[in-house]
Amino acid sequence: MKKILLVEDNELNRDMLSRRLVRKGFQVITAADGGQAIALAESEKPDLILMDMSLPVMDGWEATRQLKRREHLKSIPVIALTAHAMAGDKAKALQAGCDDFDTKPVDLARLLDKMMPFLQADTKD
Amino acid sequence: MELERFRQDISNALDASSIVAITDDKGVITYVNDKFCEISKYTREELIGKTHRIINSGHHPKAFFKEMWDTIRAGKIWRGEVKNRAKDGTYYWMNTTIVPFLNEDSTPHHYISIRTDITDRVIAQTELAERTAQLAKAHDEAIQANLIKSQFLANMSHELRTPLNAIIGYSEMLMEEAEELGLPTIAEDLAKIRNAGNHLLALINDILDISKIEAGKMDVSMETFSLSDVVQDVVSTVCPLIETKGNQLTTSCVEGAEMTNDELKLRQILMNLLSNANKFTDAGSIHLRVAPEARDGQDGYVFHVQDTGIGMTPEQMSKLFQPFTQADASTTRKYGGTGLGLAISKRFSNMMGGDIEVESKFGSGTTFTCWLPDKKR
Repeated sequence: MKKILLVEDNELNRDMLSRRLVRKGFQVITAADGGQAIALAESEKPDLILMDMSLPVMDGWEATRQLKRREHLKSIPVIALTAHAMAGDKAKALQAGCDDFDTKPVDLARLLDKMMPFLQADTKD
Repeated sequence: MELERFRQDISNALDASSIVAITDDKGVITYVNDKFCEISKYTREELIGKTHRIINSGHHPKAFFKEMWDTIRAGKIWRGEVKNRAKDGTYYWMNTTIVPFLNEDSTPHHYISIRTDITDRVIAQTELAERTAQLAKAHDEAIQANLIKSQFLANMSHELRTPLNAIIGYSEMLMEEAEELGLPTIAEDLAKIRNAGNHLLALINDILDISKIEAGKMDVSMETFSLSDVVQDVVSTVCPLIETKGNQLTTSCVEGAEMTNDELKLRQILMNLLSNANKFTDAGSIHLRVAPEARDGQDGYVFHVQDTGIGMTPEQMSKLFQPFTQADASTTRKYGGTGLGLAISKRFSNMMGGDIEVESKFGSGTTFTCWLPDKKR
């Protein structure tokens, strides 16, 4: 079972998306800010990270930069999720090291399409 | 004698045309004409033997009169606009020329002042200046208010989207669960909640876009992208909508073409034009054609969206691209929408260096033509 780390500060969105992903057959762990996300990435070694970008304490851009600087974590794919459907946000997320980008509100089918290439390519387990 | 009569004629002409006073070298009034008495409301007897201080309004600083005296004492002509006060306390403005009468040694022995009444002009000028200042202030305030409105809308739209995302997400989740549990009627109702949520989200996104544009916070981001990919994506998104109205969508697009401009905005423009065409067409056809076209020496692409729908009158077309306006108020009631889609598309295409035009005939369809430059060349 693939393990997904969902980083999202809004409680409702976190609950909803994690339940929907569980129903699609994923194991889901959650974090509410960038610092928690890095700690959980270290301890849980998820197969993929879904990262909200506007986060308290440490935002998603900074958390992604730090993850991608750590040799043992940088191979974990990160998909940026942001409510700001703005031109330029995509570039900003990719620049921070995100592997792909999707806009909120989440369209689950679209998000799964973006997640699948990273999870299928991963043959470690 | 001839000369004396000539002098008298000049004097009469002067008195008839102007307000005239003569003073000695100390400024003591020795002569005033009728017009002087009339405007100052003093009698000749009250004026003769006095200086011009009697009509001083207090409006001008001391330096003003010092400069005047310095000029005329030096035997030169002085001209100026002077505010005076009449006997009854009312003010009047004089366009004044003072000419010194000189001795052999060039020192003045008398001064003649020739004045015309410019009170009306000065009052009009003052009022105009006040009005202009008021207008400038009102204009600044209107711009400021509009900016505040746009910023408020931008913030508000963002705040509105967060709970809306939860509504859409949860109803979608529950819908899937209801389907799996074999509860189709509940799934249908949940689909209605989700659809209404999506509709509301689209409206909020439009408001957010137009307020960002108006607040000057909308940026253009250049990317190179495949035109046919964009067209394919947009078409597959609108296809379900188009089928529900019994319309036929056909497309023709140059194969393998790449374009450099703002991809997200192009997608949005095409979405708007196609869903707009669909909204006003029933059981008809919609055609999207993409073709290369240079304008003013700039390479680019033209996007035609042609429908066989209800069309528009010239009056309706004239208001088409204004925000918050549809062809008319009843259109909003009948067809829904914010009336922002075309305004956004127009502003987007202008920001991207292009434009949108419309051709339409009432009752027989509409064609929108959007041209956008290809910025890579």
